[in-house]
Amino acid sequence: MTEDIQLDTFTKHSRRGVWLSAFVVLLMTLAALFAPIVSPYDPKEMRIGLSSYPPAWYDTPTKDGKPEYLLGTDLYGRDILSRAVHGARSAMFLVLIAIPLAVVIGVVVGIAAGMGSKTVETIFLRLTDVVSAVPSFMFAVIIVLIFRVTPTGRVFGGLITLTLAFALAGWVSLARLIYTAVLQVKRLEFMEASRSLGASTWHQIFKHILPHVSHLIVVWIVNNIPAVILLEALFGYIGIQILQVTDGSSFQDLSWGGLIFSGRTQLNWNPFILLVPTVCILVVSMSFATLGEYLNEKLNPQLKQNQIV
Amino acid sequence: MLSFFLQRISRIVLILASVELVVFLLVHAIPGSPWDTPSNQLKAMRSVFVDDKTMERRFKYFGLDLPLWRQFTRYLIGDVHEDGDFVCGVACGNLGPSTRQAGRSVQDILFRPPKGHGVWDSRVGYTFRLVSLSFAIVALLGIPLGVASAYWARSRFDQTLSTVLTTVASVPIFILGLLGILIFASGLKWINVLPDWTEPKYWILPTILLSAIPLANLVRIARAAMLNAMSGDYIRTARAKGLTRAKTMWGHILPNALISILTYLLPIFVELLAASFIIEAIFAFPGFGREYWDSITDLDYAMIMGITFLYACGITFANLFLETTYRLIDPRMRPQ
Repeated sequence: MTEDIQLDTFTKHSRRGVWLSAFVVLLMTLAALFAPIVSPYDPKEMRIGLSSYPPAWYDTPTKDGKPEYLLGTDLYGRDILSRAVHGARSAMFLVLIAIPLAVVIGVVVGIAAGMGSKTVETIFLRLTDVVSAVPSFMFAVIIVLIFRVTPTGRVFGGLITLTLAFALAGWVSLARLIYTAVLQVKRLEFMEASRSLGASTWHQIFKHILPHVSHLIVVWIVNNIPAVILLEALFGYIGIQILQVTDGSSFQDLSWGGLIFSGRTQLNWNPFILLVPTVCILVVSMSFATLGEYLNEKLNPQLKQNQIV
Repeated sequence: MLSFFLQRISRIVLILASVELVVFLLVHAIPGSPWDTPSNQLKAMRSVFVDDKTMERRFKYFGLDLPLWRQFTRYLIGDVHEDGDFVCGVACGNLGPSTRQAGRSVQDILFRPPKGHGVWDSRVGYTFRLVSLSFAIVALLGIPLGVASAYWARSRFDQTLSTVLTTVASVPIFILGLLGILIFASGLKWINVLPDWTEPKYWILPTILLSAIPLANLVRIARAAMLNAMSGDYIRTARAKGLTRAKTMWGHILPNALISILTYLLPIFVELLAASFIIEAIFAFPGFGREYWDSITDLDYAMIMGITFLYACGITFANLFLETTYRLIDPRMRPQ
């Protein structure tokens, strides 16, 4: 390989930006916790005659916005604001079950490949060769299609399907990250000292390796939180339903991806259905990106020493 | 050099075969058949009106009645068909018949342009045009911007540029695309939501959106590479010798930085190729990305595997090319 270019931290992150991002995340958590209290209506309640109203401040030739429905209504007369607030809840829940699963798989495989025998390492490397030759969303789509009609896939209104898709397609990047870090840490002198003192592999992993890669895990988590939400939104836009039921038990009735799904066909006469979840995801992903970079700056010990200029 | 190539080619063949195997197993694990998928109610309804005999003929024609391993070897290597002829598989470049567009083979759909049109109007042609346009934008804008922001490091220009680019880079491409459509097609009505892609103005939005994130990354890389080259001892020597800042820039820093920048260009091409799947889905762009999304819900086995195969080919050969150029450019990589 040619010499590694260490990307310096581009700009010092303004404190304001970091605080703003933290505030957005807090707001999202609060919206998720208190969704039924905060949202003005039941997000699943359909109202005949209140179909496709624009937001309160916006007038179209056929319909004027109603102040009761602040962000308007969708095709079935469901309140979009309520749906968006409940979407934060689905997104939070999704993040809370999908990310830990991917992290567990990624960390275990990454450490096993770094610390295990030559065979384990070779299998891991060949596997990553194969996996990285295909974009991960292709795997995710196929996994969703496999699980969505099985009984397992129906748990939590289909959330489990998406969780599996994300975890099975997303662990590879973390495992690769951990693997290279483990190889680097293994070469350090204190590791040799600990080995010569007779430390067991488990002791080495828990006392030395894990503390040295923990900042990578934290940054990976923060950076990948938007990825889960995005995966769901992508499926919503393409028109792949995570659970194909119409009885309202699918979690997509209450998610941003589902909102995108119902807005994508009405782009020309009511673009706000699509705009609301898009802006939600935009704000959330930008906040997590800022937080991720800030944490990377704070937690990565190497970045401090090798800073360029 | 020859043994290096042979080794790499055999590894690529192995990788491609394993990719095909994995995708084959995954795709066949999806419940349903191409004519009876839970996702495709229209086709499922049609299949109600097709009698069992016709269905049986269909399954036989596409080889779906064979055991799984026979289907795989039929796809990969080839098989003797019912009329007694041996039809070669992927090994000879035959990607198999499409179930969704009956009567056409996958390579026919992807590579052959419609009647009376040039090669550029085929599916692959469209994707290639989109990706190379974006690539040109990224390369031609990214390197000069990165060099400039390193030259005037920490100036107001550098800071503004970096703020703008970090903001753009933190927005996922899918959301960028949606916002673009909402603002320019749905809001301002400058373009149609579903254009026919004949006029250049329709190409502007997807190209810019596709290149935005890689551009931000390349500027960062170019800037870091320049700063890295600037901190070398030989630069201090050159300056001490009395060379001007501009002269060291053109004569010493830029050539050194360019080598490391160039090695990042090919990964950017690969990145663009992956992102084009998402941009094509958002804009209903008639490239092979859209063909993929159309065929995945209809369970067009051959098409899904064919597109994955082509994509994996692109990535593995791009990596081979990259590794070869490393060895040619950088003497440290050559075997002792």
